Amino acid sequence: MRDAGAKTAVNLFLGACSLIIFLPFFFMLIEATHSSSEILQTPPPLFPGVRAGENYASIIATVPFWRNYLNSVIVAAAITFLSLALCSLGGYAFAMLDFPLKRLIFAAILGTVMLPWLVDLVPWFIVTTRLRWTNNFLAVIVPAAASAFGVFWMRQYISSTIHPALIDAARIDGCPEGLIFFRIVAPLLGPAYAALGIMNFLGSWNNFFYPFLVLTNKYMMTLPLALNLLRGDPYRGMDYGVLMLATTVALAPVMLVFWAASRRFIAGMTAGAVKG
Amino acid sequence: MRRGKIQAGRSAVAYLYLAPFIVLFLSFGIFPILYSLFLSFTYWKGIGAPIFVFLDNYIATIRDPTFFKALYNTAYIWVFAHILILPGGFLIAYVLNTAYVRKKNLYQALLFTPMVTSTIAVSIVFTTLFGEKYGMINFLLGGLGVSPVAWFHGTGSMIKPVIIILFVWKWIGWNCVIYFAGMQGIDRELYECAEVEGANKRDILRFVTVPLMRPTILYTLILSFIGGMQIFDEAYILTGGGQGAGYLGGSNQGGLTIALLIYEAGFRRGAFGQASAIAYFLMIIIILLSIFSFRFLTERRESARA
Amino acid sequence: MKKALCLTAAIIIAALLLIPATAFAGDTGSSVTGKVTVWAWPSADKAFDSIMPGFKAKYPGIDVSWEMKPGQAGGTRDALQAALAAGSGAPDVSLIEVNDIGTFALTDAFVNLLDKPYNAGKYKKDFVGYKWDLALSPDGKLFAFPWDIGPASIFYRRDLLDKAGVPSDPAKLAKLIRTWDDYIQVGKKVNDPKNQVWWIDNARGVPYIYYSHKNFFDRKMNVAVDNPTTRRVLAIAQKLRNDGMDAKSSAWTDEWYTMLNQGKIATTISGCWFGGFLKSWIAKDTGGKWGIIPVPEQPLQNWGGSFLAVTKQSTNPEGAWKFVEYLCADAKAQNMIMKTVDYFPALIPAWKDALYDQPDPFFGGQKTRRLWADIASSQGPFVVTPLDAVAESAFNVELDKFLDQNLDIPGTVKAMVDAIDTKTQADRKVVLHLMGNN
Repeated sequence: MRDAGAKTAVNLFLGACSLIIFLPFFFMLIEATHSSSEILQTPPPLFPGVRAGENYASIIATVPFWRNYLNSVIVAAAITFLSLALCSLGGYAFAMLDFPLKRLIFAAILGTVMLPWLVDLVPWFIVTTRLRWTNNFLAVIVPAAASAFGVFWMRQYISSTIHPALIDAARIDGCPEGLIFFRIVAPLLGPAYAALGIMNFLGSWNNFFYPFLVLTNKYMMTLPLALNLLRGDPYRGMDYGVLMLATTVALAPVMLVFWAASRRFIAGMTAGAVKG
Repeated sequence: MRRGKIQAGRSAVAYLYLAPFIVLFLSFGIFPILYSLFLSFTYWKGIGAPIFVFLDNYIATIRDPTFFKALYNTAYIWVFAHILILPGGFLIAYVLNTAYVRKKNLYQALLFTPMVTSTIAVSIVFTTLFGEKYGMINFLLGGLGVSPVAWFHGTGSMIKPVIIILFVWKWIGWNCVIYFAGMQGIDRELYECAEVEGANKRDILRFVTVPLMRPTILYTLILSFIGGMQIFDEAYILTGGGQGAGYLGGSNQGGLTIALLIYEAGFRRGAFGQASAIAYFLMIIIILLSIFSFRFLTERRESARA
Repeated sequence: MKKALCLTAAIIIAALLLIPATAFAGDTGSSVTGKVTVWAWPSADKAFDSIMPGFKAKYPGIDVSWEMKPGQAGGTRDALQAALAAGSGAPDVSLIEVNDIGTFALTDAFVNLLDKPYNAGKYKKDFVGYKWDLALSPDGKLFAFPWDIGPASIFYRRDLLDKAGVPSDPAKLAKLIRTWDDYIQVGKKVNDPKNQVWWIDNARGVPYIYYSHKNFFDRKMNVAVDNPTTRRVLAIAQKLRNDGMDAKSSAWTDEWYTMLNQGKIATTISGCWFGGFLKSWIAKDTGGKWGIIPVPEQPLQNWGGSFLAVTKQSTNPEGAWKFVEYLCADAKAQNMIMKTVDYFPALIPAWKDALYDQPDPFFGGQKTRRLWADIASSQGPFVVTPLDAVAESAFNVELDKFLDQNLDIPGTVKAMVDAIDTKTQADRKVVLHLMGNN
């Protein structure tokens, strides 16, 4: 019964991998219900404690946590919406329409995909602060909206899914050129919007470095920034229980949403990397 | 005549559709690259006018040992992380691809979970997990008879392993899913052909699966290279954000990455010119290595065919 | 005649009535009104609260509001830098920590308080020399105003010394430890790693305090770290490390806090504010067990401190200055703050208060404040520049490497000089240029 043996071995292996992946979450959850002094001992706590309430009170006292949550949602939604709109319009133009310099412009856009975003950091900071967008969501939303990868991907999707005949038919039917996209093409882009949308939303949700530079008021901070703030003052020590509870509350919803629609998520996030 | 008019009309629409994207892209995609280049030749603290200093920033970067340290650290992390991720992800994908596994989607979802988490949140969790005295990892190691490891202090040589573990933990699911999808795309007939030709499992792996996966692997690798060379969040949090010790990167700056260096130059010291120069250095390195590895790997393929 | 006199009188009275009363106010300050916004970090808010009644009494027309920035000193600095770079959004007054004062010295974004109508120059003699120097830009502008300092000393555990048979009375101990060699000799008696007692928390503390925001450069902006003092303190630190006398514990980590609390560390070198930390949260229950003595061989040491600066973006710089002046240059206000949050005044006249001669039970009845005041007024080399923070960062990297890897002293000194030189090269040119224009 070699097959049965192989089957057990394989499933055991995968199970073990999954367990190891989840170990950090497990410990995080346990420590979230303990106080810092309970955590700082050998052996560290292995079972849930009763201090979640206190820890929660500490979180709320230090940062406007739910406000930060809302900020993250607003920023991510805005970036996603703006990016999808701009990239789908642009992608359609590149895919279905002809205009002078099309190849050149597209090549230029594509070229920037390979460039590291660290180069943009200082200029974005300077431009957005000069525009007086410090502590304004615009500083985070606007620079991220025009994604080269997004327009590339939309063009790919449109040119491979939408048949030119469809467009021509619409033209013959008298549909004005400017409305073809909105009437004919956009409704067919559902999967593309979903995939790219997930990618954009998650990317923005978890983004830290650049928002960290422009959002310095704790009422405007997004979730990762708020978590960073909770790490606290080095001259006061870290409250681990509080931190773990905060990370739990920050991670849980995303993970739950992910599991509810994992296939969609995975498809979206690996879009472009998987050929076919 | 009419055709020309129609064409012009369509071009106008095309430009209109493109306009919003192009405007933002020029402002925040193209302009920054040029502005950064300009700044890299200046001395500027954000107030007043930038002072032109030619190549001084670049020379200062080359003369600075911490730049090479950061480069070394960043490359070290990326290389060793991928030594684990590539075979690991491939193995898991391979195993997942077999007929022994029923719940393929479940496993994929489980392994992919770290990808949706915030790096900051996870880095904070890892800081407590790897605490020297009271961390869970040292406690488990103690159970195995290993003495507690000073992950973040001492000579700082263990900081990179922690970052690598975090990186692998996060990205192995991604790689696994992509390889899995790639493997699923391989025509079953090829396998059958090979078996008919007398190939065993190992041969199939070597001569069918891997070569067909090459483009996928290459693409993933290059993207991962560009991203991996810019890691900030993990390094920032795991080295305590530069507090306490008074310098970024942790003990002996063992966790100092290029991104941290740029942050330190631009936003701790306010030297925007210097920060831009370092970023440009990084960009040149990434571009050169990407082109080089792309050429190298495609050449190998062609010589292998010949 | 009568008519002319009456008319003249009427005109004079009318003129007197028409001139606003405020013109007669002179320099009492009640003429200055308006809003003043302040950025700071905790516990500055408690400090502000404590002096508000007095301030309001003197300047009823000035309405001060403050915002505690998240992320402490670093967060406040980041927010301030962003606002300055943006050209708007900066507060009227900002609290700046000594670590960041150098960065802002070169920005020219703050009001020169030596100018009229502030005339802060008259206070120069009232402030500790090195503190005043830090607030001066290379071209001689007073761009910030000193608030508090951190005179540093050795904090020690009396009970651990007693156990080892070493006199724990501060006066006696100070006489016993006049040099670093003495420090090591005494330490050998107390150091007992087998029983979990270490003489010093981390050997790096000795060189660190010598170079805490000072003496990296000479007055011509040359790197000045290559000198006999450096070599000596590095040697002392290496001896402490190699003889197993330091706990190798990194400051501000959980392990460090625990060790201090549990009496495993006999001495640590820190700024005076450390006493406040010990009392309030690090080692609350160890009252009576501590004492302080000056750092041997070079008692003039300082770690920490902050400044208040008025931004050029301010729309009410006069009101802002009144606030800063009251808080920093009024002995009563400074001592009120001292009592509330333990920030040690840089204002010398404030030290005359009986407050400084009060025995502190936490330190076994020692008159710690008087000792710190004496330390702050002692003499010694103290050259400060705007680039000290960057230099300190580079210095610390090499120092830690030196101790952890047991490197040689000449090589380390050279590495320090090179590291500082590389990191501050561009800025030094600017500083020299500004100094030249002075």
